[in-house]
Amino acid sequence: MINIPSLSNEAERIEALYVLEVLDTGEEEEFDNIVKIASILTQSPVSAITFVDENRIWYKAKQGIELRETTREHPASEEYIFCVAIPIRVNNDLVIGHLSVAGHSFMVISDEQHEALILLAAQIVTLLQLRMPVINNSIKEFYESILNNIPTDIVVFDADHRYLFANPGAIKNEEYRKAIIGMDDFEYVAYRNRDIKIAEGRRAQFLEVKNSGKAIVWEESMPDPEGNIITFLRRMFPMHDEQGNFIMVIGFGVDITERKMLEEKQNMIMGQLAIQNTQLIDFCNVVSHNLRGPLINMAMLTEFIQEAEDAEEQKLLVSKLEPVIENLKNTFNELIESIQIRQDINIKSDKLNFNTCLQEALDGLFDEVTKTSANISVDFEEAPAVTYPHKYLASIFYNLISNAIKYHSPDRQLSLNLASKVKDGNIVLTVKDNGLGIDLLKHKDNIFKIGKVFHRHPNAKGLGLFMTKTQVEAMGGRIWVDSLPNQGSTFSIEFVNQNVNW
Amino acid sequence: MKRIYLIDDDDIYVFLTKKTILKVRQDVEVEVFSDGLQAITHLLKIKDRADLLPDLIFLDLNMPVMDGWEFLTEYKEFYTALASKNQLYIVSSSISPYEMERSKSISVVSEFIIKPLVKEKFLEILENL
Repeated sequence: MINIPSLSNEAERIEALYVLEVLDTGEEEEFDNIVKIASILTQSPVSAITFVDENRIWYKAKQGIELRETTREHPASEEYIFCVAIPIRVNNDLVIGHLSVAGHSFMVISDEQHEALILLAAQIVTLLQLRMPVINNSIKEFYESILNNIPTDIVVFDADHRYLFANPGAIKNEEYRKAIIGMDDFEYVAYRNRDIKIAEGRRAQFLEVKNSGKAIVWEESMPDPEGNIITFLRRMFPMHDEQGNFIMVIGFGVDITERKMLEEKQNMIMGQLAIQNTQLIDFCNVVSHNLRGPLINMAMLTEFIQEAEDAEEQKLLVSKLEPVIENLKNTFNELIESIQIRQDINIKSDKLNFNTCLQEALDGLFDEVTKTSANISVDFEEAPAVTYPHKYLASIFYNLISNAIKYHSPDRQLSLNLASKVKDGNIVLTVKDNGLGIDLLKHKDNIFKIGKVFHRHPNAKGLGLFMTKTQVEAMGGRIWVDSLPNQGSTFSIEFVNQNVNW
Repeated sequence: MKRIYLIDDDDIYVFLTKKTILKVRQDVEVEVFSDGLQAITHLLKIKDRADLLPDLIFLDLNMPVMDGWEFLTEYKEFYTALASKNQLYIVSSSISPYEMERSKSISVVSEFIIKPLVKEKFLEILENL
């Protein structure tokens, strides 16, 4: 026995050897080539790569010798006159085996040849490590650590829809995660006291994947324990064995809540832009019709006044100027006001009594109300008050009531019904009349637009409803109308952010 | 004698346009409709009477009840059935390029005139009749 170093740290040495999982593996060309090179290098007829197990010496590769293993007490090296064994070292100092060259006649190994053998032995370690995904960790632990830390939930079902695996992304609580293995979804919802519908939904998806043999993808929104809505993009796909038999289903879920929220935000901004664009077009229209129209009239009137042949005609023309100017002034003021509403984001809200505010509007419309002898009924019992800017509520009442008076039916006495109700935490005010009504099929897109009028009436300018809508929407609420021609209209206004539990 | 229809809801504008027309030509008769529906109803009533149908229509766009566009949609439907043809001009205070473009796609519209309708333009239209 020449040059065989002693093996110390037996326990650690064995552990390091086992981690490499090389013992009892088959022949491999890379290792065979190393022993060939060792033989050529040293002109030795025999060479081998051996690993020293607890009770044996096991041969991974060999040349000029036919052996699988020997005992540690009787190594093959004893048979040869000449033998050089270079230790294979891992983790600095643990010797797990040897690269050996040997022969039956005495030989001399030069320093260069010895150094080359040491390099080859190091090369063996590199080769062994390359075969391993992770050193000092089993493959199972390696994959499990990936599955357990990936920010995705992963579950695996067997062919009968029973859980084979769930990662912490899918079930955070370790106890539940262990319990679910072997259960199906129906057993699991019973175990967790959850809605059976969840299990029914999962079963339907499982069967779809199983029967079609194809992956399915869907989005799923649900509240988390804190009540926030979270959205998952889920994917389920079937696995088949080599014979094509269905064996399992793998399910993935990725949290796309943030993406979803961004999408929604984007859609909201797009919607707002679209509304603003429509308002801008409406605004251009009203400027060109309601402002440009009177201006043209004024220009034409002035021209005629200049050309007028007698004082009588001149006087007539001048008298026609006055209503044009008045009209222009009103339109102009209302336009300015509607722009101010949109700029006045921080307008102050007060707690307002519906009855008081309505009375103010009726006082302002006293002549009109008396003239039409309108029959007005009121029911503000369910929601007697609202928190709102006084100016807006006054204007809402004024516009809706003056509209109802303006467009009452000549065939019947105007009956006006006002009511306030609590609906889904908001307050809804309705103003119902039995007037001319509006053909909603024809006008539903136009009803709240600026400058739209639907009836022949000297004071119809089409600004009132636009203004009301602007005020309501500036406070985050909605306004809508139900109407049938010649039967009447019901305008509804929603007041949001109302603390209705007074 | 030429028959002219003015379809417009602006009383003062109608008064002034009538004045303009009568100043340059006395051999015309002007009839006024204050919205599209009144004009359509009347036209349907006389569509077989070549002696009553207008030679010229000036149509405003922004009107209550039935606006100019709605008028044109209905008018196109029976235009070919009219006993005598006429020329129709949109006369609007609108300066919207969108509305001008839209009017070009309607075959019965001869031209889009931006208000006011001046003497020179009126004479030119009459010559083209």
